[in-house]
Amino acid sequence: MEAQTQSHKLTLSSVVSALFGITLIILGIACLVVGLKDDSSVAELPALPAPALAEGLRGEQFGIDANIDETTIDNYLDRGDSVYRDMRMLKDPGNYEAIGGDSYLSGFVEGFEVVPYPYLVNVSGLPDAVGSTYTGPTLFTEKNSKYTANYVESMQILEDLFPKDKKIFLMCGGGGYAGMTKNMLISLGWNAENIYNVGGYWFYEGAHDVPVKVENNGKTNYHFWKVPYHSIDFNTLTKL
Amino acid sequence: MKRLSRFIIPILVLIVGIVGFCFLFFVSTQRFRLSPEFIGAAGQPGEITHSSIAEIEDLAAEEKSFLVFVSQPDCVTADVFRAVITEFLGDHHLKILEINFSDIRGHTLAPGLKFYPSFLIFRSGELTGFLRADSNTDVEAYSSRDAFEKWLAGYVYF
Repeated sequence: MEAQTQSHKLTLSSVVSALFGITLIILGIACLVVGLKDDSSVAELPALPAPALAEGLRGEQFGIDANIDETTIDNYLDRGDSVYRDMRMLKDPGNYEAIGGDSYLSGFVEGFEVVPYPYLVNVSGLPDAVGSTYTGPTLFTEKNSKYTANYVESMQILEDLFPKDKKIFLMCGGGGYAGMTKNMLISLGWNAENIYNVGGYWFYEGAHDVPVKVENNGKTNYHFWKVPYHSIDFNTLTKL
Repeated sequence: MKRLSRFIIPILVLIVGIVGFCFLFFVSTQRFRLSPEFIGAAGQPGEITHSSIAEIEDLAAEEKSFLVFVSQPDCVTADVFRAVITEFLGDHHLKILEINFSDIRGHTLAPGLKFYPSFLIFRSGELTGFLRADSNTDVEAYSSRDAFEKWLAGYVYF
């Protein structure tokens, strides 16, 4: 009787051990599969064409890319090896009512995060009719194409917003702020081969448009809560 | 006689073809004057006035000849070109309309207009020429006052 009980105990512990072992094996296989799958998804990322300038004014003056632009950016969205930045302000303080139109950000391409260029560096060269643009504090000051940090943290913030080990896709309204950002980053040591000026939101007709300006019953509303926005609190920074 | 007609008919056809081609070429490239309301007072600088798509539709319907600067607020891409136009207007008393790209893109009045900044030339209500921001041949006209004047003078007397 005792031997039978012993035998039952043995059998039960064997079954438990076997189940435990099988569970471990299944878990191991699952981890292996997931790991392999992750590896293959990295490998599946389509290769990026090297940055090249578009034809005409778009390439020559604004540095918009020939291959990755408003018409092709949809093919390059949501890449783990890249960051996507829209360089416009939510509201530009320029007096755009003087020349018609509104000065609010009216939409953006899904995946892009807004980092206003006027907060990075002083903007110059705007027409008189627009009046002064943003004149508040900036991370850097540009003079004769040389960029000087205004705060101890300026470079660290820039490196956080535009990681040097990632591909960087830039957009704005028409390609101007994006081109200026590209020039600035290159001047401050970023690799030009990693930076693409994709161009302007106004020329985008793809499938990932996120409208912010919404007309409803003759009323205009701005859905700013949709916008992934990087704020810079200059009050917390240490002036140089 | 039969031999003569073998030569005369092809020569006549050739002459008619050449004359027709020359006529069409002349008509299509003929320079024109802007409608009077778009020519300012002599000695005064020209000006850029903001317009609307409704106004431009009306002008086109009335078969007016006028110029339109296509820009977009909240964007620096148009500003360099705006400076070129403003410099040009210092010497020419023309009235140029300005419209937001977002208002005119895709409109039947400006087929083929894909990018701003741009500059549209309307002759008798029809778009006869415009600057392309994606064309190497137009880069100079965007960048210098003289090149812009030369380009515009290809269409308009001023």
